[in-house]
Amino acid sequence: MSAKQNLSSPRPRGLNVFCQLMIFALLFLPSRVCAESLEDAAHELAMKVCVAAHKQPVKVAWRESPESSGYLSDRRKRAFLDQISACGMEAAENSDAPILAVTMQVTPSKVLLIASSTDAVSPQIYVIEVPRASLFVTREIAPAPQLKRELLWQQEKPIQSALEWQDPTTGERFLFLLSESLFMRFDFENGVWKWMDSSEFLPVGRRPRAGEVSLFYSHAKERVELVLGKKVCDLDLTLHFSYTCTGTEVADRTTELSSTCDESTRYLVTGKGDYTQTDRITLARAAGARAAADETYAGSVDMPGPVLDISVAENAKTAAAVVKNLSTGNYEVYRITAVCSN
Amino acid sequence: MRFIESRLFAATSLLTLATQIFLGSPATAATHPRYGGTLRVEVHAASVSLDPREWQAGSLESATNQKMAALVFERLVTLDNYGRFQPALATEWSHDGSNKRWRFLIRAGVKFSDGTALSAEEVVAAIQPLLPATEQISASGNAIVIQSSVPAPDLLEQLASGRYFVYRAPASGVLVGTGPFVLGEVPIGGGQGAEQNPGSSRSQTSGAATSPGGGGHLYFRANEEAWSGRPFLNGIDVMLGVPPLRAMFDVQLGKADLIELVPELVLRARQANLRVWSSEPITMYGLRFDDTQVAASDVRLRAAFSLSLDRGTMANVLLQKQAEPAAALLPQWLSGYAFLFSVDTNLERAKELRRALPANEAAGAAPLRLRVDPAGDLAKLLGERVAVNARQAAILVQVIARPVPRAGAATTAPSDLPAGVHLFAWHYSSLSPRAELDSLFAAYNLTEPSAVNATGADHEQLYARERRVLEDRRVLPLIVEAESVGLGANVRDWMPARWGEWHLDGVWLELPEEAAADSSHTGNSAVEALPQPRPVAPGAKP
Repeated sequence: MSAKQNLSSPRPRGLNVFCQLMIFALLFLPSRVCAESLEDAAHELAMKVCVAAHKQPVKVAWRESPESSGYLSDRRKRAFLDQISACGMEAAENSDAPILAVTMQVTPSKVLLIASSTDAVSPQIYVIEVPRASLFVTREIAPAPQLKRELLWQQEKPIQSALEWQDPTTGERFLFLLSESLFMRFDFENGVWKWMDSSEFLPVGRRPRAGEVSLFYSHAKERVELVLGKKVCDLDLTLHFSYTCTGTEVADRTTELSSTCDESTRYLVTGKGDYTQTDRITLARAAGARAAADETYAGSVDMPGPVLDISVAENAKTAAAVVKNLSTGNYEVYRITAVCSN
Repeated sequence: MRFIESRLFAATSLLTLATQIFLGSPATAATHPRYGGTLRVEVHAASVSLDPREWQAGSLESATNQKMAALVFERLVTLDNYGRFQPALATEWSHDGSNKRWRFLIRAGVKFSDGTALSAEEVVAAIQPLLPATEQISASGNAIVIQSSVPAPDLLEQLASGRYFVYRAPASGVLVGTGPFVLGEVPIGGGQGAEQNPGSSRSQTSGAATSPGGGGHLYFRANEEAWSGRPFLNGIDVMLGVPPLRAMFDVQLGKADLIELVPELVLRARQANLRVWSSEPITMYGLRFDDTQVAASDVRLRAAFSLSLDRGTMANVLLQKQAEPAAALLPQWLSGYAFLFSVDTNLERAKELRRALPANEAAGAAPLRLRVDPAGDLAKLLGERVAVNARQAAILVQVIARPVPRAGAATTAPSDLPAGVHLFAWHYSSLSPRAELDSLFAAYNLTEPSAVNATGADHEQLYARERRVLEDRRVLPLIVEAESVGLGANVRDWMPARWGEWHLDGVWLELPEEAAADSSHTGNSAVEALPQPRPVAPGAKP
């Protein structure tokens, strides 16, 4: 006596009818090869395979390339398998079934989801293209003790400098950005930064290079100021943005913070690398100290790219660090806060 | 833009206290770049053409030409290392549903280095001679429209690469651009490079130097009016025609900052602790057959020939692992599907196929002649290796190499005997796989069966086109080679594209403190301290 057990998941009849209709529609519609997300791409690739593969069982082999590492997640694999299963194809585990190799490949502008079958005399391939620009890869790095980072803002356009500021009279919080030739102002409403206004601070069409302009808060003047080509400029933020450069040259640039822990002065310093490398912000005891090499190191936080600028807020408790994220190419503003560990 | 939700700070126990901030002491990062200095570059090419209309698709010379042209000219759009198209001379673009009609809004306020304002008409005049026959360009107000007779979903890839630079051709014949540098004369005594490298202080005209023995210069000075911002470097001094070994010594001795490295020197440079950067494979070496010799037109002989080739040895031994065996016409990084093609070396099968052919074919007094088309030792070595492999399968191959020019020696004309096989080199320059494949097929007259859709840009169709052509074995890819450069210790922010663009506009030099103070760019006052270029010689054509 023997018994057979069907291990495949039961499929409702209605779903099968739906899938057959979808396949019919695919056959007569112009093929669309560009998906908007990798989940969509996995679905569309499965549909393409379903149409062409005549529902014979296949053994799916996932092939990852170094460039596409991380793209081919379990969720996307599942999306593909669920779809071919819903179309009536069996993803067989035994080695007798023809192999359907599925891989993701990255080109300069696209991510390609490719299924290739070697069953036929001439290999058949199915490709779904996804513009790389539509994908967003995040890389989370756990903050180190004593310095804490918090992402405030990110955008594709270059950011030269950023500064958080609280109006002492109204208590409103603002975020100022210098982005290309624009001064941008945001206020904090309902938990998000909301754009208020923008003004050109350089002639139209000119863009400053990194390091040429910077925002900072002057405690002596109790106002936000702008550094433009090493000259200090007074900002007027009352109605329309304007500035007046006094000709005073800025001194060496340092960042000072004090800690409640031991009431000593601390400095935020960055690594010595260039803009091609990820960076680290370190809380050091001496202004001339360098990240990583300094023995007076009091805590550090890794950043996802080079630190382009740091500006301390008027409360001197936090600083805004501008970083170019080397994983995504985006420009990001982080709030850096020094915290005391137990 | 994306709003990032801000979170309240943690408990009060985590607060820090504020102290005084120095007046006029804004905080900054330690990685800020510096203005000033001259980047000294050494390249192998003895001459350079900065006119994109003259470039021959796929030629090895076009690689150097493009790098130099990118200093002076800009494209409508660029592609960054994250796969995003970025606005350059076009600020916005859109297309219709069929991808046949594209509209690009031209950036306002941009000037060519001769002071002429960039206009849509200027863009049309520059791009029209560069476009394929299927595409027409016209001006429409402050925008341009490109109308394609076939869907062109890859138009952005096409325009972001290759020869699609925007230039202006004034009556003088010297092309001018909007880029970060301007072709000029070497300033006498000017620039950090001139001080450190006496050879670079020679005054030269701006025309392309063509001395085969080396020593020719091109000097590019910073464009103070560049819309994209003044570059950090005051200038770039390019020495042409520098032999590879001498270039490596120069960078080791601090006489050069950026040099091209030939594959055989990469390992040595790394062992000498030189900073080495390598691109993706951007040059293919391959074989193509034509019917000038009867034997080459026999598909069975071509199949035997293909099976005899040991590409692994070529890549790993001859090129010391600075290349990869190639089975496809387009490299993996560009097409994404090259891994689906495989190359097998099967000498026994090759012999078997050969035995089935007439005994006098490619044998004895009528060997198959292999002409090595590219210049240089590498191509010659590859040709000789191919001949050795073929001989192992009883296919007799006679290599006809290009004569190597020697100083003072009369040039020897290559043999006029017709060659059935050519060893060729192809430099990939387009980021559009379709455009690259079209150029390759057109250059080598690779005909496709009429059943194949030769206008499609999607990867399934491109794969099918490649497969059809490769199955015919009229062209056999051998290897794909990366490009390597050596960098001086003081070169900062070297952020090239992985497909070989150098992006020197963002590079700066870590100068000694004193020199940096002298040459730092601090607004208008510093501009006066920069080396002032002399006028370009009238009639000099880049």
